[in-house]
Amino acid sequence: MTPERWQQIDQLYHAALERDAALRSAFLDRACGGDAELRREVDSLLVSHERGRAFMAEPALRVAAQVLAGDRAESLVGRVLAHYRVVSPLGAGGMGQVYLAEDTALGRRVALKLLPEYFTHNKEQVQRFRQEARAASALNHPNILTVYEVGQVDGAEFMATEYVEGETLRARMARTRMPVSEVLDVAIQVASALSVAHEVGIVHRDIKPENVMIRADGLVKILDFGIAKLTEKLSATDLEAATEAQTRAGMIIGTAAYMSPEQARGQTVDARSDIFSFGVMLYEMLAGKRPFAGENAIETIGLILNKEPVPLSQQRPEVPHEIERIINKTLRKDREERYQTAKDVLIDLKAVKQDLEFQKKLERTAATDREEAKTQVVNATTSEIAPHNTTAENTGSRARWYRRWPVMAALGVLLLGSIGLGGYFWRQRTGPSNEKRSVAVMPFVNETGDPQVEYLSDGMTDTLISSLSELPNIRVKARTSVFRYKGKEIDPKLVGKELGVQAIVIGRVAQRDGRTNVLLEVVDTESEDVIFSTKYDKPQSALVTLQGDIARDVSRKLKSKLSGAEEAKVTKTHTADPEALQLYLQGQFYWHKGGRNNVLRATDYFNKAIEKDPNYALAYAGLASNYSSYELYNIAPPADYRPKAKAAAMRALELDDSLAGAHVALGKSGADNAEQEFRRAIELNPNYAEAHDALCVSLTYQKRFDDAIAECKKAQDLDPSSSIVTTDLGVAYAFARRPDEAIEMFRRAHEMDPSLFVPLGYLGFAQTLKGQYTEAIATFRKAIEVSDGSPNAKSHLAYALARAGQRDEALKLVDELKRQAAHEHIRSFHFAVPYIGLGNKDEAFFWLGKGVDEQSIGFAELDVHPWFDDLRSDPRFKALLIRTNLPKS
Amino acid sequence: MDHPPTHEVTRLLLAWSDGDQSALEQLVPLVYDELHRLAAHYMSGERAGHMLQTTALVNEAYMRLVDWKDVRWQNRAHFFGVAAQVMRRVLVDFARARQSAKRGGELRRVSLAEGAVVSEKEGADFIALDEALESLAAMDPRKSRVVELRFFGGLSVEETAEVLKVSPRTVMREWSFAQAWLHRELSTG
Repeated sequence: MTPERWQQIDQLYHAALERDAALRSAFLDRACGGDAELRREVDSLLVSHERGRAFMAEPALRVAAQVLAGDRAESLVGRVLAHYRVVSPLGAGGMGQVYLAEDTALGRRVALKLLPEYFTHNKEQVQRFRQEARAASALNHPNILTVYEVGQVDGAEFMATEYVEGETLRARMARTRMPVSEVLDVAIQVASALSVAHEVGIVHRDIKPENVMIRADGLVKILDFGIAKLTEKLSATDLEAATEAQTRAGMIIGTAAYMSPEQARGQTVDARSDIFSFGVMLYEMLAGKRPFAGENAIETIGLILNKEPVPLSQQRPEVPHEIERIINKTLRKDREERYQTAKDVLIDLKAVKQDLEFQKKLERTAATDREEAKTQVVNATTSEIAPHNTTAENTGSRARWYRRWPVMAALGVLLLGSIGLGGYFWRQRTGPSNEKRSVAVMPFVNETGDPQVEYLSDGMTDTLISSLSELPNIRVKARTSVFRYKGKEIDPKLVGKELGVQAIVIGRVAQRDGRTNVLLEVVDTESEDVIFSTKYDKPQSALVTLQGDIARDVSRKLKSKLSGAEEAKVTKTHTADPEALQLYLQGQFYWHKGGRNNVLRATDYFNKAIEKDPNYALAYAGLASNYSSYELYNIAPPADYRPKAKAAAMRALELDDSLAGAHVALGKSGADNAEQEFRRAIELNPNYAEAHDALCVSLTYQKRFDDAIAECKKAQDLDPSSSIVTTDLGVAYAFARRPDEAIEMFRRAHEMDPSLFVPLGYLGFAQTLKGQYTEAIATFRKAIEVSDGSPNAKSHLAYALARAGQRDEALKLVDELKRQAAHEHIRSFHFAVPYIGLGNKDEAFFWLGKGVDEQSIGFAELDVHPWFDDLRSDPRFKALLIRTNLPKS
Repeated sequence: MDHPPTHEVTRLLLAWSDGDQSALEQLVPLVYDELHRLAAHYMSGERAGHMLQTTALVNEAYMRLVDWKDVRWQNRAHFFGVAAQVMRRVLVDFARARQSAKRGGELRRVSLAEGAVVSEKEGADFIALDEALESLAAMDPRKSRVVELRFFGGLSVEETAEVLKVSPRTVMREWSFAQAWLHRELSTG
């Protein structure tokens, strides 16, 4: 291939991509002339471009690591090493891979730790591996992992230990915030293990949440006495290596965060160092964050050496003062001031536990004495659980803590292995129960990268948003506000801040071999903890129920209890036909995409969905909503599509009167009682931004501007980044003759979505209200550019030009519009407007009259629009208003 | 663990670019170290962090290998370029070693799109990619470099632009074309 040819392909490839997909083929026909080979080249690259979006999307290192992980996990399973048969990988320990294995001699399950093959070349690693085994096997305590055997097989080092079924403390903390009672239970067991180890002169030296396992029954086991040394001095090079290791390990191991000041300084380490690390862990369990948390290891070490942590009482006010005192004493920088032995810590912790249990008893007695009528019982069967008194919230914080305590304690017991209560716990933490919780569903990631199934990931996101928004007490961010995160990396904290939500839902969808896989997580935006995480793997034919399952699982997590009616609402499927569902989702996808062609495609899909399932209410509602976009894209005159929109909306409501979307669509289709329809929609779904927005517009046209503004502000709160809502708020201001506020809104709306011409069009309109014609002309020119020649924008420009005295140019534009009207529908309004600007009332009235007859201009618009102010004194205007009320033939 | 400080990595990378072949031998275990660490993360059964954390882990691994903040070297761009070349060498060698280790057995190809989700047909392995990159370089060296820097070197669009002394927009255009072209080569070839 010649360089010239290559360059030509390169250029055409990009030129084609810059064009709308629908126009590419025509463009290439022209550009390639008759050169069929050139055309084939470019076409095949464009196909690869579409298919290959996921190709090399992940950095090579990650890809290689995944492959390696796959190889490793596979390679050992089923193999017999010495007398152990490897059953499955368990995870990665501090050093080496851990597998679940069966001891074929004794028939018991063991954890088999293998030093990775790669490390066996490294003598020091092998040394340390053996050392770990020796140190641990010297200890015999229920809270210390028992080592059964160490050995070598086929050149690989292995260690067989007791198999603990449970989770690490790290995982436990990530799941939910730990109740105080549970923290105390874990702490007492760890302190007990440490005190025994310290007595025989063994220091753990690496106490951290990764090294603490919690069994389902609450029994704690300490792992990895790996770097424990019989009180031995650290050399300077050791320190360098250790610091370096921690710098590298960063968030994977995070050891630096648990180091004692003397460890950080490279001084001799003794039992009191473990006590410090233990204190760090204790603090983290209660506060949900580490006491010394720097951006990196170096910074963290700096904090450990020099800074006092934020008082625990500020992080979690309900923690008993005594626990805070104990932790402070473990965290003293000078080890002489610290607890001197783990045994002392243990004694104090046990005393707190006794106190609290005594308090709990008192509380139970008091609670029984009180009227139980006002109280709300946590749904659980244990008789231990005391009622949660709702009136207690008003008393002082200390008292409140004691009142809440029994519930927390009960949860502490139940949380182990319980799924249903997670949501309840989250609610407890996020504030009083009457406060609405807020959540944003991030656009699901289309894992396959295949644009053909993008409708599915988008559609599942939409479905989840609308299901959740039907629940009272949850505020769900609307579509437009979340879809701007599509394809972007999600930083939960940042999203939380930007959208003002407490949690986000993230999901990944893949469809292959006839199955749909969904990976779902709910993340707390403040702590970045995963509140809930789950996987679905369903055949494609079960798509209908899959959506219901997802909605149910997520809403259960966000809300403590779903009433039967709520659950039914959330999981409602609307159709049993998976094909109809897919067609509907495609319709939604193209409708949301917007643009003339996409809206037409959407109409087609909705109709096909209805064909598949003639009782599919949601598809009728989608079709009706889709018709309401016809006006924006000048697809057809209102008289053509409005009756269709109305019929579809009515049919939807006939099938299911509770569809908020159908009520909105019915209102927009020109129904007489539009306002009622919008209000009904809001009643059904208070989170429905579009309904508030539609009501706002309806009120604007009724000149009820204050109410309109209030309603638009509600919509804005639910959908803060919607440029449509912001535009409509601007319109309310503009029609209320408040151009300055209007201009502000239109500017904002334009910034939110610079590709939309509507905000620009209105911005120019508001500028004309202030007599700023020069600015308005510039704005309208930009709107024309953005919209690729929208007649609406041209008409407005003509108005402004006329007003600015450039009459000839205005007339030229009107001619242009008339020519354009030959192949697309243009509202008469847009012809009337330039003539108003030109002061040609005869022409203006002619076009307005035509619009009234065509039903494209109604009473409300005539009555409210500021551009008609010049005409109002003319008797013809009154006649026109009357004409809007005449029956149409 | 005995990882040399980052300035040592920097020194090795620069030594290699000056023609010291033994420097590469010392670099290989460092890359392998990161590879194993990441693999260990993928293997750990517990979902400790959320999936976003995995992305962060990969970024960190790159940072440790190619920590530009630590580069006192005047020519940051040059250093990036060298690091990406080394990553490519090591990872392609890794794929070769794996292939020969598995020869005879059933070989799963290294899918270049994430994990198991994308069908094998759509992916390809590092070895084939390496060869295709050579052909691309013959025709259009800059496009090949963009892929080397971004995919193997883990550089962002902006960093790639800095190395190649072009605008980020150009990098994106070159990437788009190279991605499509390579995808086509590897799926038909």
